[in-house]
Amino acid sequence: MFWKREEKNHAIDSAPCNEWTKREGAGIKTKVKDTAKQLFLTLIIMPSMMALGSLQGASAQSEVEKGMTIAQMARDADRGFENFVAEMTMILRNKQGQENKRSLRVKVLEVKGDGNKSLFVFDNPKDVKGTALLIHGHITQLDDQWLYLPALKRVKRISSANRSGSFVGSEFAYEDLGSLEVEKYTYKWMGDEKCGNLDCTITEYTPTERGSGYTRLLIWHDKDEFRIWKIEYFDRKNALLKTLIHEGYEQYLGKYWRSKRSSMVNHITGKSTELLWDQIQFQTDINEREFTKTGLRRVR
Amino acid sequence: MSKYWYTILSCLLFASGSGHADESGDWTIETWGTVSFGSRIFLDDPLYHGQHGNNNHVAFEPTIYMESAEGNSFTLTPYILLDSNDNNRTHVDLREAYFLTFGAWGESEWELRIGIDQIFWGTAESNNPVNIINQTDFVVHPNGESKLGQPMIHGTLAGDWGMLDVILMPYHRHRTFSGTKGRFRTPIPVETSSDQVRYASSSGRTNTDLAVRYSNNLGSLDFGISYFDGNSRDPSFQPNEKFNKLIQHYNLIKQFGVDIQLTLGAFLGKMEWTAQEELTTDDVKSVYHASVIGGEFAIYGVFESDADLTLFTELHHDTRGAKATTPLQNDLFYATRYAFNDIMDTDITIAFIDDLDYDTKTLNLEFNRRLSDTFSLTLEAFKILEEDPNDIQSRDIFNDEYVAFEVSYNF
Repeated sequence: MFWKREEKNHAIDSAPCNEWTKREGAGIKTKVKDTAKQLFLTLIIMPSMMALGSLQGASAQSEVEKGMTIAQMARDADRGFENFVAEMTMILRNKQGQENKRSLRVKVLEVKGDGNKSLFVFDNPKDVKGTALLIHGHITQLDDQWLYLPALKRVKRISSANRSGSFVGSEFAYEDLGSLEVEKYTYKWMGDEKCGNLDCTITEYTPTERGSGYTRLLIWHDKDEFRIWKIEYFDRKNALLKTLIHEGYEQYLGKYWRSKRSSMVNHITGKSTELLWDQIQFQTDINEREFTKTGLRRVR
Repeated sequence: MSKYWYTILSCLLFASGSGHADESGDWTIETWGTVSFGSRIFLDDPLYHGQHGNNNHVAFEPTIYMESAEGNSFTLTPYILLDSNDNNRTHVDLREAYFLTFGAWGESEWELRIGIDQIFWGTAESNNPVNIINQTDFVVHPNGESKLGQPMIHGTLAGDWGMLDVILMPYHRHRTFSGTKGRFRTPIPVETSSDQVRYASSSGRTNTDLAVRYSNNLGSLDFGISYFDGNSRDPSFQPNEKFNKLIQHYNLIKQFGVDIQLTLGAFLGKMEWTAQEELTTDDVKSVYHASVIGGEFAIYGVFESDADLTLFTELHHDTRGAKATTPLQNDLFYATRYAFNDIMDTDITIAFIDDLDYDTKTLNLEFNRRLSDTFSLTLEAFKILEEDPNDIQSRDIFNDEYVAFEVSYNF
C-alpha cells in the first residue's frame, strides 16, 4: 500500500499521495454501490459543479451524496495519467527537531480497472540503497507486494496486511500513501470553508476496511480543481491523531496536479514527516515490464 | 592489526570519491558499497593449536555499476575479507562481474546476463534446499548465507505466462573452509587448495552445469519449479592418506526442486522440496529428498506500539539422516523477530534450532540498528543450549559459541 495506486484516477488529488481511485473497479459493498449508481446518474444529468455550493441545509442523505460526488470528482481529475516518475525525499523529525532523511525513486503505472502498480527504490539511507518495493495495487483485495533485497539478490513476496503500520519509520502509514479508492470509504459532506484564497469543501471519509487505523478522515478539497489541501486523521478512539498539509501544487500536462511539499504532523508524539517531490514527469516512456518480478531484480 | 590500516585507508579513499553517479559518454557510472569491521569473541577456550579467543575482520565490498542509455549494464562487485588470524578466512572473491542486456520479444521480455553473478532461489528463512546456483562462502559466516560468485551464462524469458530462467555454468567453485587457526573447523582441517578437490565428473570442475527454473505468481501464490544437472555444491569428505586433511568430494547430481510461498494476510506459508539423484566419486548412485516446510505470522503494532512481532516456524528434513551434508537433517527452527519500525530500523531476532534426532539445541540472537545515514551496527550471539555428542553433524561447532559485533560504513 504505499502509494501505490495513487495516482490513478482521481482527480483531485492532490498530493501524489493521496490519490484516489477508480470506481469501475468493482467490488464495492452493496450500499455504496447503489449510492454510486445514483450518483453517477446525477453526475451525468447535472453539470459537474452543481453539487457543491448550494446544498447547505440539505438532508442527511444529500450530505452523503454530496460527499460521494466530491470523492468521485477528485478521483476523475487524475484519470488517464498513464504513468509518472519522480524523486522523493522524506524528512523525519522527532519532537526535539532532530532530522533523518530518506530518498527514493518512485515510478507509478496506471492500471485500468484495478489498482495502480508502483515501484519504489531506496537511495538513502545507504544501508538500504538499492532496496526496492514493487506493489500491484488492488481495489477490493489486499495488494501484492514484493521486496528486492540487493545484498541477498533476493526477491521476496511480503505481506500487505499492515495497512496502519508506519512506512520506514515515518509518520505516514502505508494506508496514507495509497490512493483513496472511492470504494473503500463512505462519505459525508461536512461544510465549506475558506482555505487561503480558495474555497474549500470539507468531506468526512469513513474507511470501510477493518484493517484501517482510523475511524474517519476529514479532507479539505478546493472547489476549483478538487486538490486536497488538508487531511485530519482520527484514530480508533476517534481522537485527532495526525494532520497532513499539502503545499506547492503544480500542474502537469495541463491536467494533473501534484503537491511538491507535504507535511504530516503527529499530534500525539509531536513527530512529523515532510515529503518533498522533485523531477516529476508524467507519461514517460517507462515500460510496464519494469513493474514485474523480472523488472524488480534488475533494479539498481 | 597494523597490516589492516593500509586496507582501511584505501577503502575509505575509494569510498570518498564515490557514492554518486557520473556521466561519461552515453554510460552512467555509479559506485556504492560497504566497508565493515567486526569482531567475534568466543566463549570457550580454543581446542586447537593456533586458534584464538577472538577473531577480527575487515571486509570491503564495493560495486561499480555502469549503465548505457539503452539500459544495458555492467556490474562489478569485488569482495575482500581480511581476518586477523585465519589465512583461509582472508580471501578475495568476485561476487559479481557481469554484463546484462534485455529487450522485448513479442509480448514477452528477454534478458541475458553473461559473467559472474549470484542467484537466489527459495522462500524459507532458516535454510534453502532449492538454492543451488552459488557455492557457500562458509568462512564469512557459519550461517552459510554468503555465497561465492558463479561464472555463468543466464538467459531469461518472462511474460504474463511466468518467468523461465536457463543457466549454463562452465566452472565449479568449491566451498571455503576455515584453516587450522580458524574457528568453526573440523578436528582434521579441510584441504582447500583447488588441485586437491575431487569430482565425480570426468570433466572435474569444468563440467558444464545446467539449471532451469520456471516461476510465476498466481494471486497469493508464488512458486518456482527448478531442475539442476551438474556438480553438487555440497561436498562430502574423506581423509587423505596422511590423515591430516579432509579432502572435498563433489558428486554429480540431478536435482528437481519446488519452492512455494502462500501469502495470506499476515501469514506466509512456505515450502521447499528437492529430490536428488547423485553419483558419488566412488560411482555409487543414490536418491534422497530434502525439504523445509513452515511459515511466519506477523502481529502488527504489537503492544499498542509501532513495532511488529513476527513468529517463524520451519521444519527441515533430509532423508539421508545422519549421512546428510547438512546439520538440518531433522530439525525444528523457531524464531521471533521484534522490529521496532523506528527511524533507525532497529530489530532483534531470537532463533532456536531443535534437532529432533539428537538432543542438540542452539540459540542465535541478532540485533540490527542503523547508526547514521552511512553507519550501521549488527550484534550477534551464538550459544549451544544443549550438546549431544552423538550429533556428528553439529558437534564440531560445540566449542565455538560466540558474541560478535560488526560496524559497517555504507556509501
